[in-house]
Amino acid sequence: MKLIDHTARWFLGASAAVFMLAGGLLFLLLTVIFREEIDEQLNLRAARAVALLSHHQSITDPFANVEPITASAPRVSTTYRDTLVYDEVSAENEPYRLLRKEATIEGQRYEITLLASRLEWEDLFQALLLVFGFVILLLLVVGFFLQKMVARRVWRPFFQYLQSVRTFSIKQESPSFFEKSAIAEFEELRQALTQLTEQVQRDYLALKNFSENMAHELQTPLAIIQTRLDQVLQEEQLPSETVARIVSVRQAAERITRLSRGLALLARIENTQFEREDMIQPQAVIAAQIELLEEMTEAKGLKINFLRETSPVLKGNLYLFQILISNLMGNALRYATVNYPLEITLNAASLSFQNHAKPYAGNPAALMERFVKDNPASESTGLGLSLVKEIAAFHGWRVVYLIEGEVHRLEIHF
Amino acid sequence: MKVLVIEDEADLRQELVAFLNSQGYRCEQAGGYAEAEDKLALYDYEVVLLDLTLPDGAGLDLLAFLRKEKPQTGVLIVSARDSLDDKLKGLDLGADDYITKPFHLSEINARMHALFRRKHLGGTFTLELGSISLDTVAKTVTYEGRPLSLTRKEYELLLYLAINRNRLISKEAIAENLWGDQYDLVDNFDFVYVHVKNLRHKLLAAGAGDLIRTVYGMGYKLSWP
Repeated sequence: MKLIDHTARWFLGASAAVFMLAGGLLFLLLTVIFREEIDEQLNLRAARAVALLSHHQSITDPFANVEPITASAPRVSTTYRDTLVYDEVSAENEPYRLLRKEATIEGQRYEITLLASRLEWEDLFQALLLVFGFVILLLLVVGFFLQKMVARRVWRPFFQYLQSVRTFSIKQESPSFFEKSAIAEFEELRQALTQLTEQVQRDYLALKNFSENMAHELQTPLAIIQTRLDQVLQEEQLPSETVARIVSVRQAAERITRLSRGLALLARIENTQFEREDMIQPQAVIAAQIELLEEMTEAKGLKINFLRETSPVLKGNLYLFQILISNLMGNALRYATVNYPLEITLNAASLSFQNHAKPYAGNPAALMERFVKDNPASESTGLGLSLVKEIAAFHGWRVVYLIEGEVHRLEIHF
Repeated sequence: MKVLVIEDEADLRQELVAFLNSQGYRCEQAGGYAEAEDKLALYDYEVVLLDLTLPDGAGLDLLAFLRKEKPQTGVLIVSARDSLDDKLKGLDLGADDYITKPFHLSEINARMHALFRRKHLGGTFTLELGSISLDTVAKTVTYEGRPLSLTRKEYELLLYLAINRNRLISKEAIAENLWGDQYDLVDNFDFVYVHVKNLRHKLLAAGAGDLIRTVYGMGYKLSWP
């Protein structure tokens, strides 16, 4: 349920309860007041009837009945009660108030019975309740919409912040995108959010710089290791165990080199340190890569079918595109089963690499993550496909990796 | 050939100098911007190995100075920052080649050789190994005047081994020289071996003898007295 509807619903419920209580109280109060009013009138008329009797005049009140009673009759106590009287004009029972009391005039006891119609009072009563109900309804409806409007206005900064947070990107440049609010709590929220996003971005930047610097700072020590080992290996008469150890150290250093180069490249792509202004001819790049690797693929026995449905021209970064293609080629060369050809299909909308390889049980998308390798013991850096993914993302291209049994298919949609 | 190595990391500088001296270069060194500037102003070098990230000044300034004052000097930039910006800037400012750390010493040798050929021999150079001649312009190989039919890669492999003769060259270094460092291919499939095998086979068939020795697990070596 939405926030505004939620408050509106509470408001509506609470108001209805209060108004019902008020309505009930009003009803009770009016009933008591009206009854007292009628009873007072009845009393007055009884007093007038007694006065007329004592002056021996006839009683003109049509709703008064005066009966002499014997001295031995039981005492008539004064009672007021509601009663119904059949009215011949309207042919129905109508509500009346009845007063019965005893009066003694010059030694003679009388029982006086008086009736007063409650009809006009009831009408008034109804009219009053109707007006009350109407006003209440009006208040409810107006209040409901007014409250909704006010709430919407008051909560506006909140919704703005929500939108800002939703579209927040850790990579965006300026973090102060929250508008100021005049409401103290929202201003606090804004400050907290600004602080939080700035902190997150600072951390991200630090991490980014760290990985980039790390990759760069590694290069010189690695160069020292590599050149020194290169020189040591030139020495004749080294014991074969020593040679084996040195070779293994050198291979480990080579691996760190490739890893740090890959990570540095990934960092630079993520930092968008590349232009996207080249007009790339994918068919030319792919053809060149196929030629470059021709002897390797031949030696392995892998056939390559390059199907050019159309020859598109893409705007982007040529250097990165070359890396993308070389990684896809390298990947195919590493994993493809040689009984089936590597099918490369290029058209205006997409590029796909399809080859046969070992089935993979997991989610193909996971293979595109960093350091995820089919075989953990492999010398591969595990960065090849993440480079493909990052380069595609950098250009705004979508990558789909499908595995069906032995068929691996990687599609890049431009 | 006179070479100046400008590199602030002492270990690396010494190793480079030792290597280049062993390869027959006359090698001098500079550990910082000021020292390098002095030496460049005073002496002429055929090739300068330039580290771009020096502690007391930008390597790119030295490059600008060289281009202005000593246009004949070949410049090979060695940089830890394999950032494309630096690379393009360096080449724009007139560097002749660019190599990123870490590198194989044999690759430095090959690059300097190519640079020297380009800069000082007008590109015309024939590398002789006895009766084997490598024409570096036509990229062809002859043995006793008879052409050998080598593929492009086999030619490059032979040139690389010949320039680095009597040195053990790792298969990683060969792979990087022949295919660049874009491929993450070193394991799994020993494609370098296939190329070396084919090259040896062709040299043997032509009667040039078996010059290339395989050092098991380590790499290859072209021995020439």
